[in-house]
Amino acid sequence: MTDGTEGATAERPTAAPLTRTASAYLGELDAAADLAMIRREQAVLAERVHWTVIPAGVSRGVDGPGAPLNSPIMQVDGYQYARLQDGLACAIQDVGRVAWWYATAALAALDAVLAGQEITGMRLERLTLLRPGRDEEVDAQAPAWGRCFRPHLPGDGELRTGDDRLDAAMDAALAPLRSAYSAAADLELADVDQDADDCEPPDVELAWLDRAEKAAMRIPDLLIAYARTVFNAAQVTGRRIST
Amino acid sequence: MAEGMESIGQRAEQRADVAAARARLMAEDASAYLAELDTAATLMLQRREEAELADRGKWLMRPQGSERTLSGSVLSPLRHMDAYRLTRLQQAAAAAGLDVARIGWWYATAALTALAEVAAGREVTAGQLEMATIRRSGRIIETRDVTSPASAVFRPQLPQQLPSTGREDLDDQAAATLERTREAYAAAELAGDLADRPRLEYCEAADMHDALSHAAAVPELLIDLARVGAQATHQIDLDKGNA
Repeated sequence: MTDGTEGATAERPTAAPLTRTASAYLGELDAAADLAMIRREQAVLAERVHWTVIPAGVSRGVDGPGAPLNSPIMQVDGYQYARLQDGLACAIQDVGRVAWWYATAALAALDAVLAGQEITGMRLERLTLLRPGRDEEVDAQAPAWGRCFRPHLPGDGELRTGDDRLDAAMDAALAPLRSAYSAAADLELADVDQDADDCEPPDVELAWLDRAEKAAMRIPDLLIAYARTVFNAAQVTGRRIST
Repeated sequence: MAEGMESIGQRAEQRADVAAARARLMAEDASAYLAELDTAATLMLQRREEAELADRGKWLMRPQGSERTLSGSVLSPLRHMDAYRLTRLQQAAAAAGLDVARIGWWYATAALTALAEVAAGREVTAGQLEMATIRRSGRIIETRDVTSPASAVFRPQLPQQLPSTGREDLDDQAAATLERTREAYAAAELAGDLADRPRLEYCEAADMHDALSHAAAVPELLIDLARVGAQATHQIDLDKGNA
């Protein structure tokens, strides 16, 4: 190992490689993020399919005016729809949790590599274990954007690997994430305002809220994309220094 | 000539059918309404079965890929994600249980209403059955607030005894189902009383366990009772129509 005085740049301590356990840990987080996103997709599709299928058995149901309204099968279909919505809300939340976890671990790994410290899977586990966001259950009644977990992001120019391509990729992944965070912060403020005024917001404001909500909803996906870039940067940097 | 005779015979038969239908107290749509509730109950029981099997199946499967982290399964993010998944499956099974309870309440209330009306010689329509159940708590209660399928909101009022159909086997079956349902209600009451106590003795805790497992059968017993009730209604209706 190096003594910490040599490295890619003179100002920076030597980067240490990621240990096998740390790489495996992040690799599993990557697989877990894929899995969570696939399950969310499944939940979205199940909910959409529900709208296109007429419940079987309704045709022999109650005749006369208002028939489908009275039909028990139709009503039971409503129960099923509520369950699908609950399932989707849970799947979204699980993506939010794994995104928080993956991003936090990847940032910690890169940080350690750049500081010239060896990092293990165990250490990554400890850094994320007791932090809110990883195992936190969010109120299912909260607005969808409120269910996005937001780990602390590094400041501009804070994490530099010295490799232009890696740094540019991290900056590119960080920029949309920052605007999504600020959309979520705006929504929080708007939520407080609405409680205070207790009146209907005008149409323009509604359109703005809708856009902000859509942006904020992308936080988990953006975090996963960012975590992947950071993980890659940590691996490449670690490998480059150790050879 | 032979064809003509046949069609005259058929028409006479049809007229007899129409006359019998007119004499019936149970409108066609009321029969359809109960039949749909029967289908809905079967559907909900199947969904609960599916959800319970998925929950049980989860225990048998090892999460794929978790062997990759050298530090073992405790640290593996995939293992951990698997626990999120297990929570979701448990939640889904609990929700499916509540849906069975709702349909049990609904079907039993509708069938017992139909039976009481027809036995008293009054006509019954789907509209009436709908009205008898629509605004009652067990049917559309927000199940998030209710944790147990044996909870009081899902226990419709039971009659002292069911009207006689004149068929001994059917009457015996109805009386036996009513008795079992009443016992399960009593078990649910006992479990509720015990739960209110600040601290349970060991023997009381065992009683509580027995009472809870007995009370858990309430929704299914209600569906059984509703089925017997619907059959009895048809029998009485048929006999009155033929008389």
